[in-house]
Amino acid sequence: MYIATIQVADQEMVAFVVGDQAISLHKAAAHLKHTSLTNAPETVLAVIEAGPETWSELEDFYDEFRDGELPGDGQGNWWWHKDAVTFLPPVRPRKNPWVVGANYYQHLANGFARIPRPAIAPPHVEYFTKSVNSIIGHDEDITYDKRVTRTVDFELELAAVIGKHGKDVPVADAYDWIFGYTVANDISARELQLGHQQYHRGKSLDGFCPLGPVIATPRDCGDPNQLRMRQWVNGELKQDWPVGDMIYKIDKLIAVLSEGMTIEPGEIIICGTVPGVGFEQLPQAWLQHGDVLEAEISRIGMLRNTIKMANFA
Amino acid sequence: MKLVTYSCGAERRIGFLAGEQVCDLQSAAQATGVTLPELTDLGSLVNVEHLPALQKIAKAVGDKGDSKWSKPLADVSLHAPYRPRQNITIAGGNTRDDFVAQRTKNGHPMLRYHTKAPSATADPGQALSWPRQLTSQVQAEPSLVVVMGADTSYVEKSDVLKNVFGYAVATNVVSVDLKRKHGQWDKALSLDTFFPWGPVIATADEVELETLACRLWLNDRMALSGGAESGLLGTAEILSEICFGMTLKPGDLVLTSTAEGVGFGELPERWLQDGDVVRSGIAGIGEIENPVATY
Repeated sequence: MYIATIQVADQEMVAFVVGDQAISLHKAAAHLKHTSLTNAPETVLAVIEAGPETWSELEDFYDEFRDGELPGDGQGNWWWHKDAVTFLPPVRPRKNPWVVGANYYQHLANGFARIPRPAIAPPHVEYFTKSVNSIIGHDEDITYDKRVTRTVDFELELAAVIGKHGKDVPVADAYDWIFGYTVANDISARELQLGHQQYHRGKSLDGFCPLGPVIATPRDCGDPNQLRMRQWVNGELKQDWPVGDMIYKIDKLIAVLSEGMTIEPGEIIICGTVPGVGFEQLPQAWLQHGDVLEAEISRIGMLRNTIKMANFA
Repeated sequence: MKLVTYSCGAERRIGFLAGEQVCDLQSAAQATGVTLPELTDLGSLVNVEHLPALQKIAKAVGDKGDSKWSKPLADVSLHAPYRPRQNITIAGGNTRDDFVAQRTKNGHPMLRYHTKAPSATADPGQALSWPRQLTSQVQAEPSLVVVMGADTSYVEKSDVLKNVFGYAVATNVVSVDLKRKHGQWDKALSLDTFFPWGPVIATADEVELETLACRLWLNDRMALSGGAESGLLGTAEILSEICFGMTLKPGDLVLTSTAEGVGFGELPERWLQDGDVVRSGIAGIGEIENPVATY
C-alpha cells in the first residue's frame, strides 16, 4: 500500500494513495461500514506502532480500491484528487532521522575531487542525524536565511521506515524490520556542514528534511535495490542513479545502527545520496530562491519542494 | 521549583521537591488554587507560559507539603524527567582545552554540534549498559542540560535565555571508539542507557548560570570539574547560534557545557568498566548516579 498523512481543511488524516486519488482511511472505513477499521490508529506513526496485523488489515482494505473507479459522490467526502489535498510529512518519528554519509562510490569520488583525499570507501558506516524539527512535507517550501547559509544543496535519498523495535538485529533478517520506504531530500548547508565538521547543524536547518509524499510498503514497491532515483532542479535532470548501488546496503545499515541501540517503529534511516549534487560541480552550484526540486524514486513517489530565500529578522 | 517525575507503585506522576519531600504537582495545584493544563508527562509541562503558575505553587507550599499529597523522598522512585521528542543537541568541543578552540571562523569557534537519540534516556540508578564486543572505550561527561520552554527561532543571545524553562544535569555517556569508527558521532552517543538525566529540572528562576559547576565523580572520587559558563561559548551564545536557522521547541534539550578535560575524548582517568559508579552533579540543581554493568 501507499500510505500518507494528508490534510484537508484543518483536518489531518491517514490516507491511502491509489493512483491520483487520496482516500481517507477512517472516512472510507466509516462510509463503507468497515467497522473493524473505523477504530484504526489515527496517525501513520500509530499505524506503524500497531504492528503487522494492523498493516495487513490495512493492505487488504487498500486492495479494495485498487482496480475499479471510486464513486463520484464520495469525492470531497472520503476521497479527493491528490492535487486537492496537502501532503504532510508521511510520519513524525520519535527520534531524529538517521542519514548515511558517503554511501555511493561515484558521489564519493566526485565529492572528493573537491577535497584532496582519495576516493576510497569509508571503512564503516557514517551516521549523522537531521532534527525532527527540520522535517517538512511534499510541496512545503525549503526556506533559508542568507545570514545563516549561502551554500544550500540538494541530496536525493531513499528513506527506510522501521516497523518494529529491535536491537542487535542480524543482517540476514534486517529487511524484516522495514515498514516501508519514502523519498527524502537531504538538504545541506555546505559551509555549516563542513565548518562544524559534525554534520548535524548543516543538515538540520528548518525545512531541510523534506519527506514523502507517501510511504510505500515493500509489497507494493518491491525490492528497493531494483529502483531508480532521479532528481530534477527546475526541470533539469541532476541526479539519476540506481538505488541499489549503495556501498553499505539497507540490511547492513539497519544491523549496524541497531548495535547496542534500540531501533523503533517509525524511525527513519536515510540511505545516502547519489552523484550529481551541487557540491560536486565545477564551479560548485548552490540552490537559489525559486528553484524547484523534484525528487523521485520509481514505484515510491515524487517529492517536490521549492527553495525560498527569506529574512527571518 | 525543582520538578521531578516520580512513582510510588506503577503510575508515573509529576512532582516537585519541598525539603525532603516530593509533592504531587496536580494535587498541590488544586490545594493552592492554581490551574494547570492537563498534563500527560513532565515534558508536556515544559513551557515558559507555565512558570508563573509553578512559582505560585512553590511559594504557597514552601518547604513542607501537605501529607495528603506529599511523600518522603525515601518512599518514592525518581525517574528521568521525560523522554524528549527529538534528539538532544550537544554543543561538542565547548571547552577551552578542546581542539575546537583552535578551529575558528572569523574568530568564532566552530563547535561540533551533534546529537544523542532520545531512546538513550535512562533513569537515576539505572545501570549504564553496553555490549562489550561493540565498544571498549566508554567515558562519562557531566553536562548541563538546557530545557527549552518556547518556540525559539532567530533570537539574539541577549534575549534567548527568556525562552529557557529550566536546567538539569545529565551524564553524557560516550563511546570514544565508536566516535572514531563512524566519524560522525551521533551513533556513538546513542546507545541505550547513554543518557541518564535529571531527576530534577530546576526552573530557570532558581538558576544562576555563572555560578554553576559541572562535576563528575567516579566511584566517589571527583574526576572532572568545570564551570558551566567557562567553555568557549556561553549558554546564551550557543542557544542563539543554534536557533539561527534551527527552531528549538518546548521540551527540546541542549547540552551546552561539560567539564574541562574531556576535550580530546580521553579522560585523565580510564575507560568505564563493570562495577564503576558514575555520578554527575551541578550544585544548586542536583545529582544523578548510575552504576555500570556491561553485557
